[in-house]
Amino acid sequence: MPELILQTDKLTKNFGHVKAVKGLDLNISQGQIFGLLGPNGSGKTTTLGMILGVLNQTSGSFSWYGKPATNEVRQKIGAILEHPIFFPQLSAHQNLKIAAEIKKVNPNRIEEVLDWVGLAERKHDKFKTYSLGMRQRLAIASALLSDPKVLILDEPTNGLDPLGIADIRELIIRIAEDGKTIILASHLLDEVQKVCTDFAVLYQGSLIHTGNVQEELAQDQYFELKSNDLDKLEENLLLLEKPENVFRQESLIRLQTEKTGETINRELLEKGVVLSELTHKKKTLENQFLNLLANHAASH
Amino acid sequence: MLRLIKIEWLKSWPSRYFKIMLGIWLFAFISLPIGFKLLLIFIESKGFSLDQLPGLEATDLPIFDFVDIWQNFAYAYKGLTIFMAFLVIINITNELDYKTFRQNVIDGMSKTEFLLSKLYLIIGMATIATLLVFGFGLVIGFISSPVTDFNSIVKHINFLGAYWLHIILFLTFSVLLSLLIKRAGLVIAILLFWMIIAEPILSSILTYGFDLNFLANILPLETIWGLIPRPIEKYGLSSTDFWVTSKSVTIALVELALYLGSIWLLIVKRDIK
Repeated sequence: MPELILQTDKLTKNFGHVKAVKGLDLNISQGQIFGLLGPNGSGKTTTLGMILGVLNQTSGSFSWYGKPATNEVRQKIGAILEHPIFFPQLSAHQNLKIAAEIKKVNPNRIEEVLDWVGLAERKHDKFKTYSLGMRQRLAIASALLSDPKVLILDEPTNGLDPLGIADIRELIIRIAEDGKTIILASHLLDEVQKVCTDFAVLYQGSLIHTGNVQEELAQDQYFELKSNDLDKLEENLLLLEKPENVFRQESLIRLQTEKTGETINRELLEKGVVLSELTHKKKTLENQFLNLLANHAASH
Repeated sequence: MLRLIKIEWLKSWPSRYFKIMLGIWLFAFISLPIGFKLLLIFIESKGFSLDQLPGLEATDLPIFDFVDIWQNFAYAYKGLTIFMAFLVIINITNELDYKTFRQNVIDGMSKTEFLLSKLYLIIGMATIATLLVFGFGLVIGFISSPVTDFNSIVKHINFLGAYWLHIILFLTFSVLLSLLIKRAGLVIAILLFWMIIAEPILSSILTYGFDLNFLANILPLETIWGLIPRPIEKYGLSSTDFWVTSKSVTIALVELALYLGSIWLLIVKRDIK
């Protein structure tokens, strides 16, 4: 078993009458890139606020590395909540000096992390002159100051242009390659699907699903087949596959199978059926997510 | 402790606003006694003498003499505390406005450490100001005072203690207002409104309308300013307090404890939004 990084036990937060997070149980282990999914207002940021010590939980508890949270533990965590926060009139370097002092890190690290995120050239410019992408990279640099084992990112690509998004995504993947655990809150499912290993879905403050990205998406692959003679194709497919896995649609046939595209193609050719199109479809996290929400709504 | 002071220094010193405010304060600090001396010379040169004390010239008043100098200086310099209050208000509201307080906590500062770092800032400012007044007092006292024996020098030196407490109380009050109101402009406007208009009116109503002198005496700014009584009467007929009264110090300490307790609740116990 890999080391347990974060564990929450019935973590709950009420803002007056609003129940923002309801009895959340989460386990996040070493090396996971954990996507925290949910629509806006589902309690993602509130959850992160509690585990980062800025919000006091109403009830329940959480532990980092099996121990209750203290500020010393937080010094070893890199975290960005909502958007990059720095003193606007200070330079990147001056801002990181403050963070280094708080995190009790040798100031030599500042140059390293600035270099790593590609901000070394602009380090003496004031934070307020930075573009959103640069701000996000500076925030990541600051989070990496203490060389933390775990990194928490809240909507890291929010508001970025496509180039900025690609930039940050590449940074996240590079950080993950270092063996760090990453907790990534996002409502961008595509993003989570591209970088995360595991995910949890929050909805109206409740945890409605946790799972592994690869496993869940792999079991739901299918093929779309087209041919000039759709009747003949269907006829032959019914001979080759279980009938319940063959779905005739308007202009194509959907096939659920464990076989590879190559095998299907060869078998059909042997039967004299020529395909005009063969597409391997994977279920996206987006479909999965929408299904989960729909199922959840139906059962309540 | 040194780490927290260093963090506060790293936050404040590079800011241009901080340096400008500090410069203005220092300039006012240095020019105040010089300006007052020049004013006295000017009054004399116009041939005025003071009505109540016939025959005495303005420059003959023992304003810069030992024994008197500490109260006079402390009283005059408390007018400049408002500049320090502005600095503190901007400091605290910026931390809330930029959300740097929240980020500091996320980065691994405890809320208590954040509170302490701000208290160190206040104590530092009060101590530097008090030392400056002490230094100026000594220099100007030795230049102007006919008596320079040790007893005369230290006799009323507790006014410096009162001055220090006055700054601490005023700045702590400013921190509390900043935490409650959160917007710098609004905090400053409300503080000035309360100081110049609301409290004097309230004080008059309490004193003359309801005969509640005691309540009037514990109003926040009355406590803050009242630590160092006005020295002018000393040179007239009245017999006001010439020293720091234990009553005013007690009230000040009780209110300081109340402010610190409220600040602790607001910083340590409240969620950071």
